[in-house]
Amino acid sequence: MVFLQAVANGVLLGGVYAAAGVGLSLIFGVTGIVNAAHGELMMLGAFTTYWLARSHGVDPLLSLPVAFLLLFAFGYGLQRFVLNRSVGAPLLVSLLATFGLSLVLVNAALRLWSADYRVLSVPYLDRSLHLGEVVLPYTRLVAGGLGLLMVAGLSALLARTPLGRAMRATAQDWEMAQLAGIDTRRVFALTVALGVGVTGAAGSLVAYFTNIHPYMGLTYTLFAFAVVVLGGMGYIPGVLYGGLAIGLAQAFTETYLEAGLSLMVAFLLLYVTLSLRPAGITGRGRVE
Amino acid sequence: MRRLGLPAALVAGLALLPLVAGPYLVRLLAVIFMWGALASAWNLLAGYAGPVDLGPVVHYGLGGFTVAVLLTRAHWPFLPALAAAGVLAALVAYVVGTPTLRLRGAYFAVGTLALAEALREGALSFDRVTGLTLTGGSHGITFPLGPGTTYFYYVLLAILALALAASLWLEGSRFGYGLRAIRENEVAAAASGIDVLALKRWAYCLSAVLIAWVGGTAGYWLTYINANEAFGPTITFQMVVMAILGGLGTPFGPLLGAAVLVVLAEVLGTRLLYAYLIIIGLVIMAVSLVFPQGVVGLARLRLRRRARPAVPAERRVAES
Repeated sequence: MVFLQAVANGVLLGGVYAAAGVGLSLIFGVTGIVNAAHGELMMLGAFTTYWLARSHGVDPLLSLPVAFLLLFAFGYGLQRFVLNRSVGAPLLVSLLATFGLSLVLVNAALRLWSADYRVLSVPYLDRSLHLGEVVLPYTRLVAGGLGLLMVAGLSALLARTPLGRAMRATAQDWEMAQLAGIDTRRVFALTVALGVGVTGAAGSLVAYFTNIHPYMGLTYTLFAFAVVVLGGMGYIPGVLYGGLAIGLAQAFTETYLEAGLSLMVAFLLLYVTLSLRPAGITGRGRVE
Repeated sequence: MRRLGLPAALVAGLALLPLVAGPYLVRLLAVIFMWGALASAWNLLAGYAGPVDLGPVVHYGLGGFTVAVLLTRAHWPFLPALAAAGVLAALVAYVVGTPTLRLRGAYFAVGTLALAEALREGALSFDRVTGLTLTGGSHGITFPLGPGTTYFYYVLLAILALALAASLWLEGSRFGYGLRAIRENEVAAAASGIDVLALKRWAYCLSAVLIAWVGGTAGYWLTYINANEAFGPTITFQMVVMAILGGLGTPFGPLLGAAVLVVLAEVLGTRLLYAYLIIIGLVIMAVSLVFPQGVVGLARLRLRRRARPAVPAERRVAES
């Protein structure tokens, strides 16, 4: 029973992690930009959900699309006016530019909202689902389920729509895509907008069950990187494997070893995977 | 060798300075030396050979804790403890560097960051899990009271001088040319007979020893070390930003970047902390997008253009 509970915890956590990583993977896969401000964008999504609930009494589940749209617009502007300069530049350039952005976002958040920890309570999600002996808190169930849905939706968009096809073509070779008549600048901007929007929505998901504060981003940046690298950088369905691997590793560490070691195990897993299988568990990531 | 005159004179001048300067200036300069040494040491690998190490705090924290444990438990004097920390850092860097330095581009950056975070978490819960007392958990370790600021001024100046000497050596030596060949094109470098992994590993070890020395010195100076800060990302980011703002792959750029940021923090930091950090963030964004080469790199480009007007300054080959 303890084993099943650990599996259930790991899978639900994995869904949230997959959602947290999918935007990072999409942006890297298409534009080659490594976004160090990823977690800060999640923080913005979490705060959007929190403030809508606090000041206007908006249901957190309804504010998820709002968080998505707000950050979608933010991402579009970011690519159009700032990051477009770093497409095709060395890795360090985009890493540093987005690190600067993360400093701006964290400190703007601190000025606006102070460093206080905030907790969002969703009354009707406070109960748990009991399957035999296994307890599934509704907050986790909803967050994990929505996370999986978001990843599935994004994969479908990439596989089945004209925009998705343009994105995949641009990811493979943007100069050739341009020759074939694709407006790559627009594709880049839409990709970053979509990636940032999904990331904001993921921030909205974690708002149901974690503390919300300006410094929360860094942990999620690291987790997103872990998820994406384990699944294979730029390979979208891979975030599911990556999310599950990290979620299960954490759940089992907490259940059988020691709660305090769960982060260490997650990062060691990432490091070992990188050393042994640089293209991720599935072997389908971009290595160069 | 002909370029050593000015730096040597500068170091000699700085060595005499505490005899005349007030305590405030000595402290400020010591802080600049500390960050200058860290940024220069980081630049040995990232600037000359290319790999972006986002886990330099692995060496910083290791050096700090080695010195802390030797001072508080074994009651060693400070300098032998520092020497031991350097030896340990070199060994660890050699062992860790072997699998890690095979990773390329973004993978190396993420891998080293993961390693640093794993160490931070491990060091934080080590005592609680094993029942031993080594890292002091979240409380950390308090050092015995050390000598005054002037002493640390000299120790940090010595480490900085070594870091600058190493950078200057890379400018003109065969080893340095090998590293730069790797930076420009790793595949071509390997094809022309350079042992890529071995060269990168030596640069990694060299930078690890210098960073560990700063970590050990800083802990003793501040009389306190804890895993959360010593292995934390804040120190990494400051090193990286200083090196890049000053100019990657240049011998004095990282020191310049460190001096500018330390003085800026001193002038603005206490009164307008958030505003200061927002400004720094915007400056980093602007510099990285508009002049990726950094300030010193820009000056170099101009000189080179004047010398060879027919050749445009080439952009670095993207590595990922």
